[in-house]
Amino acid sequence: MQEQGICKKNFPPSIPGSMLLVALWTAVLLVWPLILKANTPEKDIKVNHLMAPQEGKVSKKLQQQLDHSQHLAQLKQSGQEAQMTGQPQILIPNLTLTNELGQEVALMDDVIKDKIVVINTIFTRCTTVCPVMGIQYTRLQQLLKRRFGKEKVLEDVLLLSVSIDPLNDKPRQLKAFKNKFKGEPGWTLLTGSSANIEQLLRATGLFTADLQEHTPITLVGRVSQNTWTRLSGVGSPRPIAKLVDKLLNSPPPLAASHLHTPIEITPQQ
Amino acid sequence: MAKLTAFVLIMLANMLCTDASALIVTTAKEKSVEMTPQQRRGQTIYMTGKSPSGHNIQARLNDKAGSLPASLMPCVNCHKDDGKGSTEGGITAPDIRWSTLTRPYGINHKNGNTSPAYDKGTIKKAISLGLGSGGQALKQIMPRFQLSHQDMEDLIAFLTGLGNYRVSGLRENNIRIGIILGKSLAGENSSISLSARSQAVKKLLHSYFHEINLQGGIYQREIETVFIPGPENYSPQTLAKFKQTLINSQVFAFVASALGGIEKLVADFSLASGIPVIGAFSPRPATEFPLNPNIFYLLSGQTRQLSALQNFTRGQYFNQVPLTENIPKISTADNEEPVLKTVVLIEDSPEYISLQQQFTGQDTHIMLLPTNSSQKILKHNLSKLKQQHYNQVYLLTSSFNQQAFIRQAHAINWWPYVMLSGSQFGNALLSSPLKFNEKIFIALPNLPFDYKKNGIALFKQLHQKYHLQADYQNNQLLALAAAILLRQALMTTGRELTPTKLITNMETLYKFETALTRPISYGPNRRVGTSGAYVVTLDLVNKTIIPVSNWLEID
Repeated sequence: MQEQGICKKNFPPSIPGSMLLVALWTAVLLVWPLILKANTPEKDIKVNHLMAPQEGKVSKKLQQQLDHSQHLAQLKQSGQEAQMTGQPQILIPNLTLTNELGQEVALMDDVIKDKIVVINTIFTRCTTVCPVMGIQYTRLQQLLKRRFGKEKVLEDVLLLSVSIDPLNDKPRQLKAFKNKFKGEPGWTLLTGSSANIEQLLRATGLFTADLQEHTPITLVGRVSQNTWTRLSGVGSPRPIAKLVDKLLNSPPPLAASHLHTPIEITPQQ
Repeated sequence: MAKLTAFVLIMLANMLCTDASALIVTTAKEKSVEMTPQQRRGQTIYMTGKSPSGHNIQARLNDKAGSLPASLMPCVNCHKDDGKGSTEGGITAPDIRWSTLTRPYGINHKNGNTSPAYDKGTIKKAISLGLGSGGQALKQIMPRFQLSHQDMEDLIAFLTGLGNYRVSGLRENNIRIGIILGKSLAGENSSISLSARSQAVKKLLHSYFHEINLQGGIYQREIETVFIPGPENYSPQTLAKFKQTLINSQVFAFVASALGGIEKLVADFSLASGIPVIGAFSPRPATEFPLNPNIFYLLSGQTRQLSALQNFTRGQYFNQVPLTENIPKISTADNEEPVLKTVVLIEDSPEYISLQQQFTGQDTHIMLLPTNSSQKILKHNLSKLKQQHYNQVYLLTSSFNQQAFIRQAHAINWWPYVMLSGSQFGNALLSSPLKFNEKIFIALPNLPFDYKKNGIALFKQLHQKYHLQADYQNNQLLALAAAILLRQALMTTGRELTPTKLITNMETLYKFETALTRPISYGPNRRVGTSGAYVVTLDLVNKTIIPVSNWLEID
């Protein structure tokens, strides 16, 4: 910020008009993110701006986010990353939900803990995309098992399917859904009160008001590492497996960091 | 006897006549066409992803992973039963009605591209290779199917008519409704004859629908009834023949059908044809998930009835009743409460053995009984149970074994509480020894005090007008309830009927009063109308039942 101020002050008056215009434009570009920051509460930006999808054509909304994050990347290149970052931040609340076995669980404490978590949203009556999402998960399980071994996967990776129709999806239905695709341990399906489910979906950016508008997205990340990626929920499981691999091999996560948000985020450059 | 046979023959002749005439009626005005047998086979593939010939059908998603059973992703899932497609999750399954696919100017895509019209050759490529008519790759979510040559031909035959088929059993001025009657008896000269119970139900339903027709039908459509006697036995040939009868019946929906023993067959048929079954009866309703969306049962079956008995047992009843000789004499200091010691006797036959899981995870002794055990073995087993002070018995056996049990237990002076589900209850138990008075408990999904005034009035009116049979009243009343349910569903669906609309409307029924049962509710995941039971005990002195519980709702 200081730099810019100095820059403006020291303009030699002899510079031609066109050059002045260019300089002014640069200045505006540089200041722009700061204006943005001033206008928007910081927290909102952090929570709502998710990282770009890595694969597949998804929704318009995602495309917009993609555009936006490219825009952010440009800003970064002009040396202005500061606290403003495209790094998405997802705070998963420790909600009480019910799994497919009918057990009441605390989402963070009992289910996610600090595993690498793959999240999608389904409802069991859905006949079009959800079966394909189910298939993606079972394939992913096979892939991960082959690559890392059963124990390692069970210990470090969690596949999560959240019902977006909690009124109709009771544990029984969720269990049947899992069995239909021959799901194995390590894949948890969740239902619960409408309010809790909505809170979870809003926190993860997977919320849709209308069941039919339900978007097939698979979200991959780890709370403590705070890296989240959204992928197509109906595509091949390979990109997901790659991401899991990457997360597994990153530096060890900070313990229990989901309780307090990390402040420092290292720039990419 | 001769008179009865003659009567049956006349009834049969009537039935056959209506069958024959119905198949001929297709007026020139109707654009829609009947399916050929080949198209019907294709329909089965479209609806279920399974081949009627038993060949394997596999589906591959557009990645390098292996293939999956096509039944996980049958065509109907996305393209819907009318072929018009659907939108979900931002993904639109295209309209694949033949008229749309073969428009002379081709297909205009959303992105502005066009591709030529499909023909039988290119549609095959679309199904098996995932290539559009212009050679472009179809969406990733469209599975690539691997079918046998014959299955592909059948499916194509079905697709070429898609969008042009007449709704099964529905015409300008009538609706064909099928009723599957109970197991038929092998009569003389191997002609199929109905049991007296089926006969009574048949007459009642016939008169009810006749009465509706007299009042103008349903949206100017008369109801035509097709009665289908159940199979005589469950041999593969008989079942195959029965299935063919179902296919030939060409009805819009089934109502008040007795599915006992043929649940699976009817479920498969209904799934493959899309024909709904409304107000079905079965001791073992298939309600496990994933649900068969087309079958709506009226009452709860054995498992829910057993759950009701278990709930009842956990309640206060057995604590209040003086438990004199039933209680094992355990007089330790910390065990003063009367204790029920429970044993579950299950007949070792596929019909009952599956009920075992109802009792898993509980501290209950389970004992298997051979289907026809000799008296001696039974006596030996029961004596052992008596010595171990068991005083409550869940009896999951056929009616024959129930009576054998009661006799033997009485013979060895053992009178435990006997718990039965209503589906297995035979009237013979009313003549059990008096020592069992108020000791036999039965879960019943329906009781006389569910019959409301207007329901009874309708029943009486039908009886007087059409001189119906006096026996099997309970069966008649329940069949009537199912028919009332169907009428309601048809009325709320309106004149533009399709099976899908009917099913959607059935799902929205909430606490609907048939006036002959408890209020009926269905939902997207609920296919049992009244889910629960009452518990009654047998009053052997007055030969009647005494209700001992309120309605016990079971989820």
